[in-house]
Amino acid sequence: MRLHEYEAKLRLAEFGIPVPEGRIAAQVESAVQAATDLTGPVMVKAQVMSRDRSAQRGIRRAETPGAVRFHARELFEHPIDGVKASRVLVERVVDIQRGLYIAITHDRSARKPVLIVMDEDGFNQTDDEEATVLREHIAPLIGLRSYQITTIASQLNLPREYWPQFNRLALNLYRCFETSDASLIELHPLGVTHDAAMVVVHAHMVIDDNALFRQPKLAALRATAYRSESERIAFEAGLTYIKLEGQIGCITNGAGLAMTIIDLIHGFGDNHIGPANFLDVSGGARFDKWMAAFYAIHADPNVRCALVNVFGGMTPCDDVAEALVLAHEQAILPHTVIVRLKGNRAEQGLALLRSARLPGVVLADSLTGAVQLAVHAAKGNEA
Amino acid sequence: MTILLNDETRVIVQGMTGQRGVDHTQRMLDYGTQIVGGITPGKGGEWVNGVPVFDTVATAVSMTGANTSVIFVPPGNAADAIYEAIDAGIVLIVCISDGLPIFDMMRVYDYVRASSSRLIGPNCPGILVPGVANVGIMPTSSALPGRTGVVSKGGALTYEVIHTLSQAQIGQSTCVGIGGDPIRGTSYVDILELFENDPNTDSVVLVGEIGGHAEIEAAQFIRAHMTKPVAAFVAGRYAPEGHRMGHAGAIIIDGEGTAQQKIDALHAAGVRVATNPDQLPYLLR
Repeated sequence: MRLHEYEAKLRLAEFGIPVPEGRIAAQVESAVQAATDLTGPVMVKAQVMSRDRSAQRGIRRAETPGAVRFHARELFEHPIDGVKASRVLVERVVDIQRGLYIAITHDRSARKPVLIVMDEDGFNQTDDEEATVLREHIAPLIGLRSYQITTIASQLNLPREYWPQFNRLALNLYRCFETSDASLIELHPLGVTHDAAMVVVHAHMVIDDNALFRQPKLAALRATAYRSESERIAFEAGLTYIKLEGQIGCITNGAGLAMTIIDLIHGFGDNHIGPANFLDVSGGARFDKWMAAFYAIHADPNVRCALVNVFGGMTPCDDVAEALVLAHEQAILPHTVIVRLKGNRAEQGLALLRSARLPGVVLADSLTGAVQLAVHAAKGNEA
Repeated sequence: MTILLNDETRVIVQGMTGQRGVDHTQRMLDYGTQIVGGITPGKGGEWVNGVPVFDTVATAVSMTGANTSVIFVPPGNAADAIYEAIDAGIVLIVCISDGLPIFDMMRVYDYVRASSSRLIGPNCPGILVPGVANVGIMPTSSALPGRTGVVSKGGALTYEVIHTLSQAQIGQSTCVGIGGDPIRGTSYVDILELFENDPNTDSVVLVGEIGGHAEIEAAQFIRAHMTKPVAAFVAGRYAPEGHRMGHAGAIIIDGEGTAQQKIDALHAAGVRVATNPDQLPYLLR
């Protein structure tokens, strides 16, 4: 789960990491008031998730409260990557003499967190080879140690008077990373100011979705981060959903099988027909999760037919069949639904579907057969 | 018997009294698996499915001689369950639970590496020796005893592959789900090595997917050390590009395998790679 910039900065500040003085504003006039309170030139920054925010002029510098009014109005009105900002962050301008890129993330092949540091100048070079990227892997049972930070500071040629605050900052950053169950914290840049202070100019933070159950404060921020109704329904039910561009709503158990079905649809389809989504209903899902899956597919206007392929291990297939029957009663199924059930309680599920005789529900016997039927149906249901 | 499980395997179920634990313990018992106990703190002394429940793994080990554990606890308790099994001297730990925070798994990985226990998973369907024993949640009805080993990151995709092989009368020696999480206790390479040295296995099916380097490492191992034929399927050729985590992700993930890179690496190692799991039986012939 990605946090907005202001959410990330609030979190960093809780861990003693210096961020610019700022206010969050949901209306133009409160942005103006914030700038008046802060005095002097400010940055006005649209709080949207787009990675293209600065190229799309989502970050403005304003010298006066009047200029803040102009920029805030524009930021609230003009969408960035299709999303309008519902909030802007108004921050005191930080003049920096040097910028550092600092990140902590998980290195999955090393199976450890890693601290990554480089000079902003190096970062902006187009040829990655020339940038000197400093890395320190962190033993998860021990945590980041001061000597590792000293190693980086000296390789960076950071003047020694900065070492104590750099050390404090890096230790606090790791504490924030670990305590927040983050999978990424990025300071981009960490600015070194003319009066020898270090301050986070921009921050980016991603929380491990698997850990949200023990991060209630962070999980509560999630409501601001959905891209579509389907995504909201899926997330609230604990399903993994990724919107794709095609017409076949895919409902299956397990990420590997979900990906295989997407591959096979591309193999049997043509340029016009493709999967509408990736949806993994795994982990021994019961009835309510299958209902949520049908609702998520229903909320996608592109879907022309659904493909339900479940090979139950922990998942009882008769729950899928029961959910199908109720989804039919609630009129949320597309015209055609191709269903294949195998494994745990598949016979019971199939018997239920045979006796229910739901119109538009077609039973398939093999994975390949189910995919071919779905592709055929998506072509036939073309509007 | 074949790899990982043998006649000496005595299994305890951590989280046996939850609904999943109850259901799957019964299924494992029905398949002939030697389940000697279950663990649920606070329920020691009860019996479930005719199996005694203990409060701690250590008690169960001393009372029953258990050497293998299968874990069904909620994700927030899974790391604890694994540490407890390691500390009680369990040799083989199979963690079915999914949704473990990655930080928990990094710590678990370091701890299990420093011990003499082997961890399979987490987020895996377990180990199935067709006709003999089932430690986990794999559906047994489509499995067929035979001489082909199966190793996979998937759950349901693994079952599809087993089903396809059995339909073509290709039986399985052992099926191992190593789990779909980014950090797992046992890798493809570990299992391939066991299959290579297993007198009951003649050929191997490897089921992979995008993400990580594990299939590339498997390809390198196959090229250098495997004499038995290997067929593979890799899911995710058309997967939407991963949600790359900012620039740090790009730095770390650089060179991390797409499905095509993995397929190429496996091809180069002499592995026959299917584009549809249906083709696997033909590639083994």
